[in-house]
Amino acid sequence: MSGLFLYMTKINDVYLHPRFEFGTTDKASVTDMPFMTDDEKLRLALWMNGILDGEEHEGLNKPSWTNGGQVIPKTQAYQDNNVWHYHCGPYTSAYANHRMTDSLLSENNQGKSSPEIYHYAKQQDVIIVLGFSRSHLPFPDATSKTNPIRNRSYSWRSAIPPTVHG
Amino acid sequence: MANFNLAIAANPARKSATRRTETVAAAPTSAQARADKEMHKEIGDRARTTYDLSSMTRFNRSMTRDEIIAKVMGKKVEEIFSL
Repeated sequence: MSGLFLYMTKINDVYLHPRFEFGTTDKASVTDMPFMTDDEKLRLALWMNGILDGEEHEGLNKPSWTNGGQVIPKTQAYQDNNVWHYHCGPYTSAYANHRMTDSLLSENNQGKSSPEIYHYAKQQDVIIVLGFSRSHLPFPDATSKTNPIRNRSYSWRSAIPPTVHG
Repeated sequence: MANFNLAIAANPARKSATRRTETVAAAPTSAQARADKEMHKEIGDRARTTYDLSSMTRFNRSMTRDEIIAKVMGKKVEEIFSL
């Protein structure tokens, strides 16, 4: 079984979803890259670089369909598309005993939290950054057809033939 | 198959030793079993989702930190830090 996991020692590629990279949404709940400040973009770049370098990260990291191990109602879209989020900072509270998120971006509920988060989808040893929230509460509704994160997570699945993704 | 049966019949001690070995197979600890189960679920979750990545901007491990910063910010690193 250990051989099965050898390829998962690092995330090999990080992609930017085009509707995030070139998008037109400029709200606190979803801010696309053209509307991010230089500081926010630099923070994103350093996070991506750290992931590709196999580094640990200090922020909280979790699936977007669970809370404390319990499935959050009406979050099927996030679960179907394996959408997670990472608390990217800046971190304003004092943290004495936070835990680091590992280089595979495994679940870590003891990381530092911040209003700012990155939404991303995991696929094998690849992640796709779907969006950025300056303030993630209330959390983007997984059942809302006007939620860009939900729609982005589905859009690339529907664009390819069913036989490819089963 | 016939030879195998004959061997066991001729040597009952060998037969019992073989059985004992089979029953002694180590069971995983509950913590290990839980970790394995979580890892399986993690792989399953990742494998279930497939995206068309061809039109997305890609960053990989061969890129330097400065290259990644420049690509995300649309500026050369020298420009960013001279501001």
